[in-house]
Amino acid sequence: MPSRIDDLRRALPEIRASDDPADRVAYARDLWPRHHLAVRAGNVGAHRPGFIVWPETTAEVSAVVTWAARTGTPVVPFGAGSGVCAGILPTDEVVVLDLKRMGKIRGIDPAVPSVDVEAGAMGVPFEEELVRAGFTLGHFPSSILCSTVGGWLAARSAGQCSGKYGKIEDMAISLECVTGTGEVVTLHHRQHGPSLVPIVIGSEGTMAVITRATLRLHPAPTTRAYGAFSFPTTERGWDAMRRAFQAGKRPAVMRLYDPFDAMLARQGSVKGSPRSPRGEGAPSPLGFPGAGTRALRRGLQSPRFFNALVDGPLSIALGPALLVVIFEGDGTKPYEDLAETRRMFEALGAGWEGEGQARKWFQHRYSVSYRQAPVFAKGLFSDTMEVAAPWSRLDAVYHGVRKALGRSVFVMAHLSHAYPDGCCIYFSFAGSAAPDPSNPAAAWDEGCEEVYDRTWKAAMAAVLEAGGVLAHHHGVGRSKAPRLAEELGGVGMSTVRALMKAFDPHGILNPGNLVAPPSPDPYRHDASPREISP
Amino acid sequence: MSLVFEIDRESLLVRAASDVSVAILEESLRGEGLTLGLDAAPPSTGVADWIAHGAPGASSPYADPASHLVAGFVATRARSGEVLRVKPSPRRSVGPDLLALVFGMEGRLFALTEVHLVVRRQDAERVNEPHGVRADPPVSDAEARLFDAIGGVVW
Repeated sequence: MPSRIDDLRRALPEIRASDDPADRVAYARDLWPRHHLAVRAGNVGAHRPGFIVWPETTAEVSAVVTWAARTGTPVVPFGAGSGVCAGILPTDEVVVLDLKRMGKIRGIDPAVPSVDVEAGAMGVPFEEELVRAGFTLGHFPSSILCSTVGGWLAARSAGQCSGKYGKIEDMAISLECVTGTGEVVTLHHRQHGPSLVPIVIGSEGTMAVITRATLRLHPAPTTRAYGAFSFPTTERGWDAMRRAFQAGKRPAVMRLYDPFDAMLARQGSVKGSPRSPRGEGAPSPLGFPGAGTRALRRGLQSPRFFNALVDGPLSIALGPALLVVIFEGDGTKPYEDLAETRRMFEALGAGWEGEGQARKWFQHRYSVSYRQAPVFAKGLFSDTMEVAAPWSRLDAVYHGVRKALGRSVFVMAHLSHAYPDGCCIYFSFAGSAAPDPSNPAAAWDEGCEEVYDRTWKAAMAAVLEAGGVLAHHHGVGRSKAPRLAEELGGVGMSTVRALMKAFDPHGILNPGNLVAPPSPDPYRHDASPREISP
Repeated sequence: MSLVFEIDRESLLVRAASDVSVAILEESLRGEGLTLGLDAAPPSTGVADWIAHGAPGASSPYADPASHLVAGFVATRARSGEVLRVKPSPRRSVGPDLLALVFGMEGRLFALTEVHLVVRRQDAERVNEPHGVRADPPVSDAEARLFDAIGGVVW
């Protein structure tokens, strides 16, 4: 009996395809941190797809999806694999559809202004080409070095300059998609509706393959005004953010760090250059100056104590919360906006810290995402959780989630995407396994996995209980899917399933993602080595 | 405070019942120093009907990308009467935006019963980024087929 890839090659000989073991391992996962525990344990490729295809045109994508619908083959669209929610968790039945060979800018319309771009365009070269033409998309996710336009749209991504330019859904004018039947459809935004653009954005590969998008552009900024402020508490800081956005200020960047995160930012250990030396006295990957791995492991085995220390006796030594502000645009307007914001913040009791911290943040704005691997290499784990809520619920969400996380891991937070009606809280946490005295041989990575799962379960329950939403810009994937029914309710979930059926009647597009129970089960025990058949 | 709407002053959100008139809502908000910030005179139609017809008179979402009009809503399925609740949030990334099944859909799939609208302070600086995005391009045949398919399964 011929294999599926043989069948595809016969049907579509012009399309590049591979079932090479190395390719299958490379496409076996996204960057969900739980996968790192499995990899650290030596279990590298447990979720390999059957094969991978690299279409070069929308017609080729349509041909692959049509073939998949005919043969009942699951298809998982793939950008650059930077997702962090197990949106990609293949089985050997799956064909991964990598869109990166479709990365061309098809045109820029300076009158709108807008850009027509293929979905596989990688973030940095795409933005660089826009800047050469005098424009910016204004979308700068931390993953910009390893993410694509299609991935941004599929996950409802946010960039670091969302305060001025919005999230990716605020930039989309139209989407070209291939539905689960193989039909090519161009969906348009309409100011007065109806529009299916908001349905496909955020659908995480379950409704259509996004192949091309028209996105709204802005003139590239010629001026940036930088400032940093200190606030005695995190709460006072976010009150100032709220007032600024409600007064109509739209800073490209307004990021508030809680005292611990602020301490790291001030000393530069998290935001410092990734090329900084790791010699004597160099900061540890978690940012604790001079902390040794053993001490760090021990500390993280008592997270309640660690968190209480930071919130209590150490809080004075940590210093105040830090708010970084950047306005950008043309002429003197950014400076005027910053001056007005400074007057507003100082009236609220803020301290002016000059522009250095903001400039430093800007210079190293993509560095922090690449500090995760050393944390795992030290035998620890780390992750982030980004939630959102109206301002009136922010306090309950902040303290509720901190408390839930703090039982199992060390936690810090910053607030980096503000709006007139609410804000995103971005929790960062690090943890470790607890040694089992009765079973010293117990696998360390399995222990980390157990703590990791417990942590997420408690945190997701806490955010929902406090009235926040589960995710602001990372998406749901399979990792948060078990809680999605509590987020959307039964009718919401049945509506999402109905939409999937309308777009993809054969159920071949990333099946098992974004629904409960997710499939395959993302929480199966993976952090132990196992033999993989070729 | 009217029984048909309430204001969350901290979040600048107003929760309004479906039948409260947009004009009356705007007048009441102005009494509180707030406004919906419409580009045109507020219509006398009910909020639900207004949203179902795409909120005519509201600013283009491209004018102020960091803001939006509808933060959350409660709606009933047109046929089954089942209730869909989308809690207010400034933005979210939890799957498709279900507001698209209500906004501008003329009540074909869901009927709004309650909506959380973002309001502005009257003294706030008005954000109006210039753009030339076409407001309402025609619906293509392929889009129409998808709308029909959704209509066949969602309610």
